[in-house]
Amino acid sequence: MRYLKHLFIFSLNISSLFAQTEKFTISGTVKDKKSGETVIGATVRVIELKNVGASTNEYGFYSITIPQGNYTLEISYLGFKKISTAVTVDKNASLNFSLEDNASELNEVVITTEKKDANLTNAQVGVEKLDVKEISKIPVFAGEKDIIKTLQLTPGIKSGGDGNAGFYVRGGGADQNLILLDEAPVYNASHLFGFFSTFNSDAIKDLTVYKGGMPSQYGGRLSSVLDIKMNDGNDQKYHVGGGIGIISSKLNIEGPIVKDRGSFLIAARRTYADMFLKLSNNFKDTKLYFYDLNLKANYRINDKNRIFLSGYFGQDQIGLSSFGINWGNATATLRWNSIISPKFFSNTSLIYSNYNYKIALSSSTSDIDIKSKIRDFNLKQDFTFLANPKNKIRFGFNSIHHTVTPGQISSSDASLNFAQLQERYALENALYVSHEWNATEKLNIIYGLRATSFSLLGDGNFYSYNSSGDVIDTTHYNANQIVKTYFNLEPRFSASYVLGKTNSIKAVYARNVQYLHLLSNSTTSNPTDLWITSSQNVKPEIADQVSLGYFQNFKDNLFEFSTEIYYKGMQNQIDYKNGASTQANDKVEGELLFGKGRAYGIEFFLKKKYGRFNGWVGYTLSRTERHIDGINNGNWYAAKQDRTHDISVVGIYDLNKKWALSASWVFSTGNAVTFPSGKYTVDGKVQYLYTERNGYRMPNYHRLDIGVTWYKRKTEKFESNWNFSIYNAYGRENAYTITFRQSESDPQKTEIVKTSLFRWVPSITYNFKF
Amino acid sequence: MTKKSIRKTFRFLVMIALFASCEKVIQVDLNSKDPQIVIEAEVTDDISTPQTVKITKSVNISDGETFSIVNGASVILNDNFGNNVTLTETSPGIYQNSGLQGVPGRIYYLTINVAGITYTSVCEMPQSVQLDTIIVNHSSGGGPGGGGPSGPGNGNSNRAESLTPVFQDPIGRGNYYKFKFQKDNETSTSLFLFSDEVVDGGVNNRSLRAGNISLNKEDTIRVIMMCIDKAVYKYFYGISANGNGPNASATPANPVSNITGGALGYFSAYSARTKSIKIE
Repeated sequence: MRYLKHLFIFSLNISSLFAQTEKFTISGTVKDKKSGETVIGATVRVIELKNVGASTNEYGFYSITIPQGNYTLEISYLGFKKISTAVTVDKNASLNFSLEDNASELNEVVITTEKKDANLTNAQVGVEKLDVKEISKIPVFAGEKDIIKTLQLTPGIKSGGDGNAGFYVRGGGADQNLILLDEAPVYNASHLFGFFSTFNSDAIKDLTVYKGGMPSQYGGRLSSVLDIKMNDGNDQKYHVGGGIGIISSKLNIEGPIVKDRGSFLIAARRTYADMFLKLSNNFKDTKLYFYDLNLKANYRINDKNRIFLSGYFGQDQIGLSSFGINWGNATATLRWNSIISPKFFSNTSLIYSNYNYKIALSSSTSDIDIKSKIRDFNLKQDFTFLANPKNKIRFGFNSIHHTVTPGQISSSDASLNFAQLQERYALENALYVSHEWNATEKLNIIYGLRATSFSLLGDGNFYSYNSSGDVIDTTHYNANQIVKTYFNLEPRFSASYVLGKTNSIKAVYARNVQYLHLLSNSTTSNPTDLWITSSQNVKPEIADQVSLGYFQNFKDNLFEFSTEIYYKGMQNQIDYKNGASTQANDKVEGELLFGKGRAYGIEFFLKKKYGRFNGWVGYTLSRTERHIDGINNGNWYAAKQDRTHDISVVGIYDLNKKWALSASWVFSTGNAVTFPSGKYTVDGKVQYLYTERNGYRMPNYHRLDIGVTWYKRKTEKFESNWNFSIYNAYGRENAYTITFRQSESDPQKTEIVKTSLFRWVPSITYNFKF
Repeated sequence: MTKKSIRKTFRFLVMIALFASCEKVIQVDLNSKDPQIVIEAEVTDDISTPQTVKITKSVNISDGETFSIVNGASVILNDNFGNNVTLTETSPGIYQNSGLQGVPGRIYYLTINVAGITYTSVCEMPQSVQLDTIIVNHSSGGGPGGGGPSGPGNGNSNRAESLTPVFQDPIGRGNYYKFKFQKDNETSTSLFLFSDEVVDGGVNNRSLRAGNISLNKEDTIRVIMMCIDKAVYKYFYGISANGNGPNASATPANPVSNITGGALGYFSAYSARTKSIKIE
């Protein structure tokens, strides 16, 4: 009886609970009033309800479910005026907002509209976001502002060195970064052998890099995800912008297709160093340039459906009289955003990505071409279910078909019997789900699972090798026959716990699997480095990372401090055997060695976010090691990118409305390198004797860059600025290579020669917009 | 060949970037290493060349010499037809014997003992390939690394730039070649290595650049074509990968030797064809 009574009371409670909580969903899009661009990460808050809020997703969409009643909604975003509006919630409703730019006041006013302590409560660890506006003042090589170069000034992300656009995240290789431009993977993100990156910052809206604990919608690379979103284009007015520099110029045009409904953007860039070369007789036939083109169009079919089309096309051309090399990426993304219900958001993408290079050699008797290509067709379906303000579920699938053509050689001379290299085909599939859960006021958790499969498909001959790398068996597979399939589960977990008002701790675990591998055998990032697929001989690379972070804000969130400690274990890492032959080798898998890796370190980051003077200091203490049977007698050795200390300092000072000064300074321990410990003579020539892999260090690297920006005019209609910068301002002769050679004057003596590239590179760029 | 071109272009790119790249001789504190035995052993079917083994030791980088000599080693050569000879030290560190005539297709066994440590190796002598003719190239005409034959009369006719050994590579991959040329008592120091892994069964049009030997008018040049075994080819490929040459790699390492026992160096049984040409 007592039991029944209890039950009765309980059910009463339940029904009253339901009565009180008749909830409705408010959803919509937040846009920039001036440009019509959707705003990513704007905060929508309900003032009356503590801790009820949402932020807009990558398409500017928000959704918030609250009980019936009268409320005040507040919409805010850094650099924009806050909107407060009264709403009566008695049914599901769609509310769109347009934020007004605050940029004209940016120089004097401390902007307080962002949810300033977002860094504390977000469960993500190891995430950096770059504001494209913010980076424009940071001095860069040849005056070409570059998001990838700027990213390398943050802790945990290390530059490949002078003349190298490759970067290393927490000890991972340069090929272990997933670089996405509007969801399309970019396989080679460098121009001109790495002096520039492929991203024209005029076309970029937003960039997020995940160094660890990437959400489960991302996968396929071990170290990091660099998610770059292009601008959508202004759907209000036509605008033309551009820049003229000593090495390159660029132009962009944007405007509405139909006002308020659709817009387009075209951004183009070309270097013209070769035009000066043509003035000289010696270099008349020389080609040396790159260009790239970003295109985007979007159209809002109705309030619920929107279509995007974006494309990137870039090409490098280098040619001497008898030799030419060109390479480039092309990507295209067709996307359909659909708001199925106020709580249910769908995004479907069809993606094409192609990276190819071609080398042409011509001689008096024949022309020879070497062609290589990696091409993907990719279908992605992503659903977001905003259950309530405390629970968000994201799930979907991704299916990619890869075609990899390794450097196939062909000739105009039919009598030459070239080695036939086989194209490889593969299918990579993923299913994922992740749950973002605001468990309590203080605890936020994101956890998820990604299940992946990779199938290597025919047609072609597939080899098995013995331990010395000789083929022992050849099997032929027909088209679309499965040669080998791998399955992997990739759990992801991250959590943040707010300790006090100004500090929090975060923890992350993530497993990542990589099925495509880049074989690189040279010191520079060559466009000809070889991509290979996982196969019966090459196992997928696997990384497990754990990290812990502590976040603290000071002085009313004026300063942000964070420290993160990480450990990453890696399996099935790949290296070449000593003396491997890599060019046009159909049996290149026999030239490989496999082993494990580990990377661990601690990162410190202190940033002053606002004010006339702002900037940051980053420091990383780390170690990256590898263990591969057959290298270094099977002992652990430092990976090339192992750098004990890495420091970066960035400062920007707004002198007044017209002038802004900036400087950045970097220091890092030299890369690990193999030097000889003895010499001997073979075949009449001196050879050097090597004892251990990467047992020595290059000299420490440090460099100061300074820049001045002069805002010449700024009106509603026209704005322009001049940017002056000096790269390597104090002329440090950083070692590019260190080589050993016999002295010319005394051939018995050995000389050690250091080559350095750049000292004092000044540049001037003129930027305009109307 | 492509890598060489890319490197050339890269250097060129750096050069024309108008930013002075500078070179400086520096001091680096290097570990010292116990001397290692280096064996260079060659067996050939060329009757004019005695079977020769050279034994040396490595030295430290900072030393003012490039090797030291190893005396008093025991050097024995066998083949799979039961022949057995001992090589004697004819000059310091050089061990020779003219009594054993090399034959293509035979397998040779080398046994060396230095101070109680034994080093052994096996090598099969590849079949010889006919060296048809030598073409003298007066101007480069071709691309980097390529260099097709070009007609006489181009460029500086008093001096040739390169020689093209013309031979028909047998059909079927697995033929490896090493070239040398000699003028009077001078021998080329460039490492000329060809393989048919990329192009099989063609008539060779790759050229050998002059290098340390100038090809002047009226000079007589002797070109030696050696058909070498795969392991020896890989050894020399490894040597070239350590240099600044076409196959240079990021992580230099000692080339993989076909000699067991921990010695550096190689054992090559090769068949040789030679041709002399007068530069006109």
